[in-house]
Amino acid sequence: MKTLNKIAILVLFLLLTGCAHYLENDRKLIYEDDYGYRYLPKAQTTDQDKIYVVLAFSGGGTRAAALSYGVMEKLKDTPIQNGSKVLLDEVDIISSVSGGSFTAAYYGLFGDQLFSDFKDKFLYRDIQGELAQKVANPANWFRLMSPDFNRIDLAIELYDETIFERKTYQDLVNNGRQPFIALNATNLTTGSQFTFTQPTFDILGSDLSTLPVARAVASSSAFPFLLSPVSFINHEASSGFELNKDITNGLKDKYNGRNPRRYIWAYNQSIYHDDKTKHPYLHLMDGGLSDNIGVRYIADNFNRSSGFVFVRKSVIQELVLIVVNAKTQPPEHLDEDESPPNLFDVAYKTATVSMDNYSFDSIQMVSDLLQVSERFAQVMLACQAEIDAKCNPGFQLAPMGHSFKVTVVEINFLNVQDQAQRERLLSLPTSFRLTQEQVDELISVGGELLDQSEAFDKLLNRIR
Amino acid sequence: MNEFILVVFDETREVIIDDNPSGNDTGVVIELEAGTHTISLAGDQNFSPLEQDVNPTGTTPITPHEVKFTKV
Repeated sequence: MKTLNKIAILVLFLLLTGCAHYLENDRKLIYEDDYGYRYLPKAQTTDQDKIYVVLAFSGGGTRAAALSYGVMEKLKDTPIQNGSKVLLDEVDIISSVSGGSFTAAYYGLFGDQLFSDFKDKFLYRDIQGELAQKVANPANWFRLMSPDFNRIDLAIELYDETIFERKTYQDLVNNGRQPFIALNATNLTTGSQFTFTQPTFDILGSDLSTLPVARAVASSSAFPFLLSPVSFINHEASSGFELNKDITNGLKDKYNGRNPRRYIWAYNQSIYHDDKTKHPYLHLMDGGLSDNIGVRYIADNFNRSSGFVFVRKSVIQELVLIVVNAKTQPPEHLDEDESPPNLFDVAYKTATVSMDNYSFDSIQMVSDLLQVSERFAQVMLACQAEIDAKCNPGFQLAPMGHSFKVTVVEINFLNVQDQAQRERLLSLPTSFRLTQEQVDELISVGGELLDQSEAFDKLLNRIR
Repeated sequence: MNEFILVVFDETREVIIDDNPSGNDTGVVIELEAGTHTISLAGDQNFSPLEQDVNPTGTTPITPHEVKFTKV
């Protein structure tokens, strides 16, 4: 009987580990520059680009997802152009991190269905508890013993089956790529942002289309220590693929050249093409480790010659950036104790301090970048007006290639006017389990904060 | 710090920067990030040189770095 039990356990183990379908990113044999989940060509978006709306959703678990949802709901209820459309129709990119990636990915896959079922499918759920149940299930213990199956794979299964309905990036391609969803994770080797788009996967010789969106969302939200990293294969280069000249020129300039930031950006990508022997795999974790706001992807695409915003600067009239920053400031008691923090506290702080430290700087950096660009165009117009009025009539300066108005709005709990509510929101935990009451308050606050923004009001006066 | 270039050619053509269409034509001031960039033109290759590497410094929108192409 004992032998029979042992055999049964062995069979069960083999079956379960056999079912542990460790999803791998597929190889792409031949490079195609118009294939897969990449931003649409400029010619296909000319009308859409005049009012160019970019949303950036921060990390922060369900708190961030709900706050982002509230902002999107407000955009859906904001008519523009004499009521012929709503502002949500004008959203061109959603760049997201961690918790915000759930809302972004869901909208990319299911569109307005977000407003009818996302609350029940994600926001109101105790995802954390469900994950704990999966880990506690003895059937999964065997699977977790496999080197090819980790805790994060249980999370991916849960997201894939119960939230994202097993959709892949091909489904995002089929949905028209408007808005473009940029889910951001962090590459553990380079410490740099890793964005799930086909251009990123081109460098890995890989096809993003077959990848479940849940795997990208899980990578974006793989919180350090609680969840394991998500691993990918760096395949042999696809036939016909070459690094973009923006990257090779960045490398040519070296770190001590005039643009070290571009060099680092170029280097961190080039090693996965130029040195595949040393980097046969890459491992991703929470996007918040490199940029907990998701705005650096926007800055890169605005400024880089290979960027999809850069190529549209000449047609954009209104450039709108709405940053949904779900950052909190929970009461901190570490300073009250003479003893140094314990290992758990140190681990938690190590994982979270870096996520929040540079969020403000990142928002300020991208805001400055956009507003300086706007100012340059205004200076050119003012200069031409001075010449026309006072100097040599008929002399024409070469016109600036762009002329857009910039609106930057940051949704932040610090802007909540009621002190009790502000303190309550700033004390919310970072988890995938909030009460329905908390979720409803976050949704409501998201819309209210957008509504009370002076910059947003001015924008609406121009485009309503 | 960003820089500014002005691409000059006898015809109006889209400017290609680092092998990417820039969305801007010749004859307008283009803002681009500092560093080396490879400049060329879209359309017929009836110009010389076919591409030029530039690394502009200290430019302003009013005093951009001029990149000239000659029709051949």
